[in-house]
Amino acid sequence: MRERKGQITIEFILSTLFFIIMLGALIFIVVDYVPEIENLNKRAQVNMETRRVTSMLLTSPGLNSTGSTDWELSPNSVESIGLASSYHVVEKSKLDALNTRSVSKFNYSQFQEVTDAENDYRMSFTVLPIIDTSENYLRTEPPENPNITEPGNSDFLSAGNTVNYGSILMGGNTYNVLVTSHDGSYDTLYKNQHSVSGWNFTDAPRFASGDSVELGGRNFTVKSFQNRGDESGTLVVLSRDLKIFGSSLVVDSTIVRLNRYAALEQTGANLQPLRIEVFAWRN
Amino acid sequence: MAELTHKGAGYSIEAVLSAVILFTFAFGAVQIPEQKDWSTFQDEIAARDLSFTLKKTGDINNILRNSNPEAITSAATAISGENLRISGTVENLPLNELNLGFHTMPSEIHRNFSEPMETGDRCNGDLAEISSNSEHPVLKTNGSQVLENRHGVRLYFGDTDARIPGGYNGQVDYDALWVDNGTRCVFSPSEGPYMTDEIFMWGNTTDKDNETYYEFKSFNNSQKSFTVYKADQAAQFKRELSKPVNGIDTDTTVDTFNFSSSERTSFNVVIFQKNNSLDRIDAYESRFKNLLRNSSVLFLMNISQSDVNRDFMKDIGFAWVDADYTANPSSYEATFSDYSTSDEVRSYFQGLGGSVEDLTLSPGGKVISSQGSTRTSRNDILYARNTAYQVTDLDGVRSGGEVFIGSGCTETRADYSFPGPDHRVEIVDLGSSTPTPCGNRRAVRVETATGWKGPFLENELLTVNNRTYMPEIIDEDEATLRFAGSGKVELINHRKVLEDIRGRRAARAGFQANYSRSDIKMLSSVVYWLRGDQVQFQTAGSEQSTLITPVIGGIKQEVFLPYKAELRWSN
Repeated sequence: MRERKGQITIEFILSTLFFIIMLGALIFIVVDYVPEIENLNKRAQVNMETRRVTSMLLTSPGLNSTGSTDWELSPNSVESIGLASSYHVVEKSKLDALNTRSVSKFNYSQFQEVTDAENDYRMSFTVLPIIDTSENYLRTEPPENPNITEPGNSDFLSAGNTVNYGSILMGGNTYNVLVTSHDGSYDTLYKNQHSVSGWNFTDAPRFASGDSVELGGRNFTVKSFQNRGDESGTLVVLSRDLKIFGSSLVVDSTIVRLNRYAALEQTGANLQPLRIEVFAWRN
Repeated sequence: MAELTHKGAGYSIEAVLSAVILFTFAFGAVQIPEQKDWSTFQDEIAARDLSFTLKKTGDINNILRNSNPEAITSAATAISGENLRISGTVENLPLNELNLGFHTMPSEIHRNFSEPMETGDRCNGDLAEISSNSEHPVLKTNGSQVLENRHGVRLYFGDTDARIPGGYNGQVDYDALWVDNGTRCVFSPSEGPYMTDEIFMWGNTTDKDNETYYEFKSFNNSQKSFTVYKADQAAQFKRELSKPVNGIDTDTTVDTFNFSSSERTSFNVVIFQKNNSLDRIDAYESRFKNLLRNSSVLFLMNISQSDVNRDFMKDIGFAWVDADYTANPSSYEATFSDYSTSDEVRSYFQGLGGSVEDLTLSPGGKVISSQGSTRTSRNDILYARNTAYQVTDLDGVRSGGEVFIGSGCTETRADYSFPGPDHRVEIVDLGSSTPTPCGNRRAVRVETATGWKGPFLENELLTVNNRTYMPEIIDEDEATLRFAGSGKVELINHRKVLEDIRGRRAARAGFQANYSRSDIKMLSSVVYWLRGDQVQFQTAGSEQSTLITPVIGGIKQEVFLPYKAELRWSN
């Protein structure tokens, strides 16, 4: 009788080899999917967390350890962070209490801890006041109320026939402005502080798009003039970068960008549009 | 050897099966997340934030007050710092450009002649101000002409070519006039220049006669004649429609027109005054219908039953009420209704500073708006509180002897009289001798041109002669068809949809030669309603947008005027 134990047949070897090859192929294919899955999950997680964190900033006032919403008075004992005095209305004093590094302010490390954020953030705050310049008159025929005295410079004399005007409250002061057009496009702004020169624009400084204009002790950039439709010249948009808060951008990360908007509430001015440009990435 | 072979085959089968199972479970367990377009997610958040922010800061309200919704696009684009395109609609605010046309009767069209200045003329040599703006010598009205004699005020004509900046076109084409109201040849801005198609006052400011407004229509250069259209009511409306509504700037032009001339007849709203203008509509029906295709119409006239029976009035949907008033007050106490159109007109009216107690409008004819097919308008814009139509006059009542019909329960048929054609009516019994006794459940049937209709039980509505009725059955041979419509006396008739003619909206009010200021405010509010209150603004490319953010707001001045803006965003 022949002993057959321990024998390996060719079929067994081939079957084992086949199984190993198939297993290898499976692992190879699945591993190929892993970065894509991870990337998609990461992007989703960053987007969702960015919305959560920014919504918290824009809809809640924040709290300190005593339960007060005036956390900006004691920024080192913040329990929850928020900038809002009401829904999507940001208090300037709370915004001023943010500082990326300062230990005496609400800094980025505290922000990471309080928000329980898994990602890194960089937020750029820009206020964009709109001047309503919907009133108008024919150049050289200024109205008596308000009693406008026109600039005498050659640029004004060569401007379009319709001059728009309006006012804006900034830093507790009212500023009067004239807006003029050239070649059919509104492009020039004249500014007066009401308490100093009223509506006398004889020597008023002149500004074009991109110029820096001082209002209420702060410098704004003339961003754009309304030049659409039949009612061109009826508004001017200014801008001022208020603050950058957060980490430096990491170039090789997948960065998510989300723009949020709110109204900025500050002393001596009406509510003004605030843009928060948020960059977020996985740390 | 045979056993070994079988064993090898078993290994092979096991290996293949295990590989298949492994693959099945492995791929079943690995779920690849769905690809999500996160840029859409980010745009949605930004658009919603931005819409809310512009409302919260009051910038949207400022923009809408200025009737310039396209500035929303400018503001949003500048603030977002991105190439966000926005279009949208705004509802419930009078932001639309309004071109109002007043129909003028041939008797109100005047053609007069002009002549050169002569030595000794009142202002000869003193017209340097006008002459400096005229390519050709200034002309004056001929003093023997009817209108100058009537008003005692001279007009001067200049060839200004105002559309050519700083120059002239080298042609004789007088296009501007100045009014010398006895101010010693010095002309204030209210005295000119008036260009063609502008309304001016031809009369002294001290005149008690205020019927002195005309529209300068044209100047015939070869004959040196000029044509003006009477424009007194037009001037009144222009004055009111030029005012802001609730602080919202409006953009209105008012012109006069006549069917027999070849001038432009393209308006958003047209007004016909006095019922003699209905003859002109009859004579120029095709022009009227063409006009109506793109315009709403307001009739300011007192009208009779025969006026309402004109084809085009029936096509519009106005109807006559064959009923007396319950009272004939010396003045009508105007009241707005709860109907949404009434509420809208009331908002405009209050936004213009009007007070309903000061209205002096009268019905000017027993006309109802006949909304729908029932002639039972309950949706009044404005009605009189201190009178009503005697609607029992509209009831259908038995006018002839009954005839017994049916073989089971007692049923009758009789002639019934209605305003309009009479009809036969049957009182039928829905019961039977068993098991339900006769007389427990009766109904009526009405004979119409298309046959018998019914049965209708008590409190069920039926339509006879285009009116709604409700049967009131007293006995097997006695019933009354009670008119079920409203008895309110409308002070302003209106049609949101025209009955049988292509057009937009229509309204009518009684005529007065001199409406009170509150009446003009009321009629101006109706004009705003006729114009329509949905305004669209668009940016190139934004028609591809899928994201819409609604903004519900209100402009508060004399009254809170709510609005709805829908902003459509695209990137």
